[in-house]
Amino acid sequence: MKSNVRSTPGVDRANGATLTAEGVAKSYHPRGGRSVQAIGSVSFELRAGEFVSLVGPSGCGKTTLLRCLSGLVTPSDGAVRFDGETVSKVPGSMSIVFQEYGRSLFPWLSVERNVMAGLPGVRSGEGRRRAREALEMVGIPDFGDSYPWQLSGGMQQRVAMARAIATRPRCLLMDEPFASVDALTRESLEELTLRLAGELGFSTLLVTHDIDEAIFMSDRVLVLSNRPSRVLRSIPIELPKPRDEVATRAMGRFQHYRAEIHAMIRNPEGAAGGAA
Amino acid sequence: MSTDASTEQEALANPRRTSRRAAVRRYATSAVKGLAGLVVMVGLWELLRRLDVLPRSAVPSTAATLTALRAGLFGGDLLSATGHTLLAWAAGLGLASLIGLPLGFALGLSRWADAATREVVDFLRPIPSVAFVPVALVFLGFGLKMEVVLVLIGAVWPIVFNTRYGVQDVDPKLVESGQSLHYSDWTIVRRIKLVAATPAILTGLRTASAIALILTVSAETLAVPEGLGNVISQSATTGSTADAYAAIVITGFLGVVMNMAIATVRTRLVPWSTRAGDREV
Amino acid sequence: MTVGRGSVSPQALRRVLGVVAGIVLLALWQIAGKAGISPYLPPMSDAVGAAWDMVTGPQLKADILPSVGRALAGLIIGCLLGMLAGVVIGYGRLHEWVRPTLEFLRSLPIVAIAPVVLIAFTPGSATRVGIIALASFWPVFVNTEDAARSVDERLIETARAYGRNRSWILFRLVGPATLPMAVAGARIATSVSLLAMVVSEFFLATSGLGYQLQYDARGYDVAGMFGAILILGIIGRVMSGAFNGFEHWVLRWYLGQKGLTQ
Repeated sequence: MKSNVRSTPGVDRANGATLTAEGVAKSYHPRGGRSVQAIGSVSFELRAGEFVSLVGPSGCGKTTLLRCLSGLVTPSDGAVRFDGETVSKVPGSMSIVFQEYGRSLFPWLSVERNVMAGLPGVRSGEGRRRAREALEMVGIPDFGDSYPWQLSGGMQQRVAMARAIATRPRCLLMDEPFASVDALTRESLEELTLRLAGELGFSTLLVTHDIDEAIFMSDRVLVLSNRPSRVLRSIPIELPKPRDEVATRAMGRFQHYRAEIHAMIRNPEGAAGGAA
Repeated sequence: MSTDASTEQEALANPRRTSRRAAVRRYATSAVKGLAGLVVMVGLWELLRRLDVLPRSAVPSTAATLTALRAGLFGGDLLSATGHTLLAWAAGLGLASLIGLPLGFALGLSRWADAATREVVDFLRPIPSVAFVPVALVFLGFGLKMEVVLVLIGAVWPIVFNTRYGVQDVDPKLVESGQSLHYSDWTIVRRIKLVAATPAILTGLRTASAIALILTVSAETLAVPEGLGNVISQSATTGSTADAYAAIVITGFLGVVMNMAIATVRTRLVPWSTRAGDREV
Repeated sequence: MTVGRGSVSPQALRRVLGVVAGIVLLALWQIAGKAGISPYLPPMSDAVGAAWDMVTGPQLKADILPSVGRALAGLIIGCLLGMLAGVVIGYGRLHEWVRPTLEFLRSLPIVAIAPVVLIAFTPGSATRVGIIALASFWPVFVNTEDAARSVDERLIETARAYGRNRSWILFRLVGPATLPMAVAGARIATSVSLLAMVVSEFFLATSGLGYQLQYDARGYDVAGMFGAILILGIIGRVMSGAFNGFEHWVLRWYLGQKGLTQ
């Protein structure tokens, strides 16, 4: 099994953090109703510098899982470890990008200040420099003084990504980040994400319902079952890098992965078991 | 092949400059229309008066009202009366804010405190504020103190409720954003909740301000020897209707100005809030 | 809110707490009154006695019932006019034209213009009903106008596509669409109407509950004054309860849609 070669030589692989889920389970107890088990038992490992996607049928708890992994929510059972340490709140070198960019950017701050919002304790001069640098990396260097609500959806998501990378995270979690933008913008943002991961070397965990997107972006795809969810299969994606929106998606192997994952999601009981 | 960020840049070239010019134009058209409407209303008033639908003896003409207005403001007692009303209004509103804002925050931030006080608050709330006038009168007698306390009692409620609502209604996604940026709970309150609640707080202040004006003038009509309300009732009983109407005009004018002032503050301070924040609680 | 072991519903608990709070307040009042804390605060029992006398005596027919009748009449007239004006001005996009005038008129306290109105138009029952209607008009109008302005365009377009004329749209579409907001305004108008009723009887009156109130106040008959206030409170409570029933009937469709019917 050939390992994927990164296009940018010399990227510090040690920059990426590891994120491990060990038997993570989550159930809810709504008042007066029966308890709902969103996550059954999920175990996997996100290795340093790796790009892993989580896919699964609607309602299988992908987003809940991501929130458990990030520390926003405490799992009912099991443990989450970030570089070996148990996660109790969002780890300092982890960043998150949400789907609802309109609601996660602070509307009262300019774009630049939004990007700076994640840089605590950094002197404002230094902070502004880093913010501008981040905005440039995501491709919108001239919009620092605008406000989020003045920008299009795709640009707002870029701002959210700038905010996420400004702190030079070692791990990036993304929760269906491109579900709310149009197709062309989505492709552009997918490429941006891959480029950033390559240049900055962080590990990435992407939750998405878009199977094509998962295959396109990742080194590995984890397929989740229905609720209560568990990992059905971990599928290594052996496609050449750098990935290209047109060429990669046209490859036979791409179609093969797509068919395989589709089948698994449509018929989760028939899938072969096995954790990552 | 993929869309570049620069294309999006072109599409949004200079959004701020063009929208500001459009906003000014919109505002100007609005003002003109409003003024026109006002003129029409005054014209209607005059017409009804000439036709004696509004009894000519008891209702002054526009000209008489304007004369009384001018006489009262320059050298008459309207100016000092207005001053008194404004003083009572400001003092009452200020006190109401001083008490109401922290209380509203506390109730918004602490679920426990909110639940514990729910009953009492829901009981007192539906009582219309002006109903407290006789009570205040009985206990505090005539004068400024009674006026200010009355305003305090009436104006504190919208401030408390809207502040509480504003804090409780902060978009949880914003809070989550703060958590993802590693903010402590206190930082989230300070940098997110308080700011996000501002539009609702301003709405509360606007309601409180209107109530405060109504209460001051009401109290003055009944039991305070100074102020616009007093001028209205005195002039009405002595038959100098033009003076009474002049004072009424000033009262209404104050109301309009206050409303516009707070609306402007709102637009300046929180340009990012949508109409959703306008809901009055 | 979970309550220990029992299965007490929060609803019931609230009601009990409310009653308990009420009883406690009344007890405090009695104690404070008897203790003579203030010469202006009579013991509760005296106030209740005065109220009882008013309700069982000739004052019921002479003062109380006519006052309540005027309040109801003014309320209904004000609400109807408010809704009508709200729909016409809101849908007709006349908002900007009338806004400063309305802001101006809204800021005038009823207490201030009541005497003026009473002097202008002879101080009789009709004028008082007019004052009450004027006060009740505002909350309903403001809410209705707001709702009429924000009626979903698509509903209107659909109606036009089916060939409906303007008057149909106005009265059979926009009107009902504004009902929830209008009713919310009417609720406020209910308490305002009581207030306006009292205020309208403060000046140039010879009978009525409000007249009684200020008459007692002038004579420092504090027991009578508080008795009148008690009666007002009860009337208010009854009107509020009746309004709830009315709301449920009128807004059946809306509450069902929102899942609020029980």
